[in-house]
Amino acid sequence: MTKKKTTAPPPLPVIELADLTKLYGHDDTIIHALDGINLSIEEGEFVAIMGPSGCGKTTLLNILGLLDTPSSGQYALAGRPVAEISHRTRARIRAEQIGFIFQSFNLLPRMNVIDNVALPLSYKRGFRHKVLSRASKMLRTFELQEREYYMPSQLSGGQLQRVAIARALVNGPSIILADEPTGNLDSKSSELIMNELREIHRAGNTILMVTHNPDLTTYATRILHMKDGRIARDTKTKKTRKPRGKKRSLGSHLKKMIKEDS
Amino acid sequence: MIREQFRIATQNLRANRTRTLLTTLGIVIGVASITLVLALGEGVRQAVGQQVDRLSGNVIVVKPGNKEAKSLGAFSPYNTAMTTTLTERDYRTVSSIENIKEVAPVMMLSGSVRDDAGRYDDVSIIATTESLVRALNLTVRSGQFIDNQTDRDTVVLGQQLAINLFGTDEAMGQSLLVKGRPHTVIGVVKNTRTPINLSGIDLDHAAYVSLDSGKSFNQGIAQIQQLTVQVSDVSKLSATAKNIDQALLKNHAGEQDYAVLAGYEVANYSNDFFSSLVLVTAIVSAITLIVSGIGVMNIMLVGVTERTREIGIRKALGATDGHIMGQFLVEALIMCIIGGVIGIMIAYLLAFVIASQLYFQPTVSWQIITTGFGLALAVGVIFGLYPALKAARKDPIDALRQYQ
Repeated sequence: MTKKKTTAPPPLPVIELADLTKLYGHDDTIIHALDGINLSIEEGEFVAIMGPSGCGKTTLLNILGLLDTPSSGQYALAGRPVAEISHRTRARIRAEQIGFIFQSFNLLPRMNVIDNVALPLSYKRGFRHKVLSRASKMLRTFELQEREYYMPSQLSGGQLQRVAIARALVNGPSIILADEPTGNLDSKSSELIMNELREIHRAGNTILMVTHNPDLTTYATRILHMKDGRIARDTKTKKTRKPRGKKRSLGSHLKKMIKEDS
Repeated sequence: MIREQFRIATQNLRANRTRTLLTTLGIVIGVASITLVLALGEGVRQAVGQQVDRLSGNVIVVKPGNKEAKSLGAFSPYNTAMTTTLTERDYRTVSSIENIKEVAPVMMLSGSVRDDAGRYDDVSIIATTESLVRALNLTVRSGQFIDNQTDRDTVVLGQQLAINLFGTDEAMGQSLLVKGRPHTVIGVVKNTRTPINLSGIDLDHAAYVSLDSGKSFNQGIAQIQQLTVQVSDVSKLSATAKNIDQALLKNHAGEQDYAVLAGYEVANYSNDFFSSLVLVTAIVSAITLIVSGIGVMNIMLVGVTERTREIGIRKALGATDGHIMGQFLVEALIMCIIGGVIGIMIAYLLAFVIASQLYFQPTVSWQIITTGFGLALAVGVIFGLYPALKAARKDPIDALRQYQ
């Protein structure tokens, strides 16, 4: 990190990957899930990742979300090599800076809607009534306020995904990682979800979304085509939005968290 | 954070009600059995201690056998078949020592008591002298106790024995056969309600005869199981005990085949048998507790496997390994703590019921309650730790992929 960054020049490369690989299996059955990925993503980008099944999209997303570690190569988050970040801080980054949206929603079936949304908040210190009011507020923005005490099994697919998105956003993360968020939804619900994501993007968040559906790439500012663990094509379709001033950039936040950690 | 983990844990425990209940039941049984054994065991110890207290600690007891040799069952109070090393000569020697008020010999004979109608009871036949009344704090309910003047063919009965034989404790003047020889009942001793006592004899169920009579049952030889000595001056108790020891050593030609126990030593010594019994039962109970701990571990492992996906989701949303570990550990601990508390309550309930049948008080002490509770807690930690660690170490990627 150079001194220049203190003068806050937007846009900042939030994610930088250098020659990243991920191998699965042993000996003669080794699979290169990722095979030398070089990628730089700036704050405020909406990146759609496309490609056939098994090309490494999900693996890439997991590594970016600090759930998985690369076999080799470097991953720098806000200029900081991830390998240097402690386990604890990684968990905190996942809780506060990264929002996950899964294809299968991944809500906890035994918890009601509001508890599910409050889940990322529960791993931080805080009063429960504050946590719940924040979760409730988030649900209201997704027009689910009447469903707060429903169980996930009582909701439709589109509603479930909106709950999942509310959960991903409740901590005010700067990066959203979405793994085929509309994969299990009908086209009407899909459109609703994509409009939500567009709103989130407009608010200054960085979004990485894996998708099979070429129609959805119209929402993105950049499209990555992957094949056999490599990036085959990288096209920028729109100008990246400048992040709005009121949102703190991931860089400064992360530096603070790492400082507190050590 | 701990409050949050507590909330998650109770939520999960409630979701699997039957499973939680059964696992907790295991802990309840384990803790209850170990607490019960400790409470009753300690109660017995105290019952004997209290008897020594009542005699204001001025009692010295001489028993056959070496003081150091403590084998299980060697001093079983009912082991009358054991050959004693104490003789009538020892009784006389001890009686002549300075500062001794009274010596009560106890010669135990096994045998039966039978009345004319053929009613019959197995009893402890105790051949002794009048001193025993004071040495053991006995109360004569009716008639009189054996003394120097009484006839050889007279017998004194414990109250319970009298009731068993004649249906009433007014047994004066009745005649019965003691070891086949006719005797007349001249007195009844009031129930002591202390089947556990420092002489190790069930006094309520005993037939007392004179030492001479006892000797006549045994080819004229007194086989003395115990000498209960009361001293005049309590301050010289240990000195007197030493004198007895030396005098007896001379009698026994230098062979230390007897034990002289003064004051509270008596209680400890009489308790050896019970202590060993308590120890063995406690070990068995501990095994019960270990088994219930394995039950906890088993259920927790099932829970970890079932909730693999939940673990993955939680990790993706920012839970650290520590959070996950805490969540599962708290769950195991809740079951063990609840089980422990209920177990202790049940143990005391049972202890009071059992003890009321045996005429002594179970001990309610912080040590025992803490031990029971501590063991429950330890089981929770020991058997909850491995499943919790296993949960914490789950790879979030694998965990999320499960059942997808």
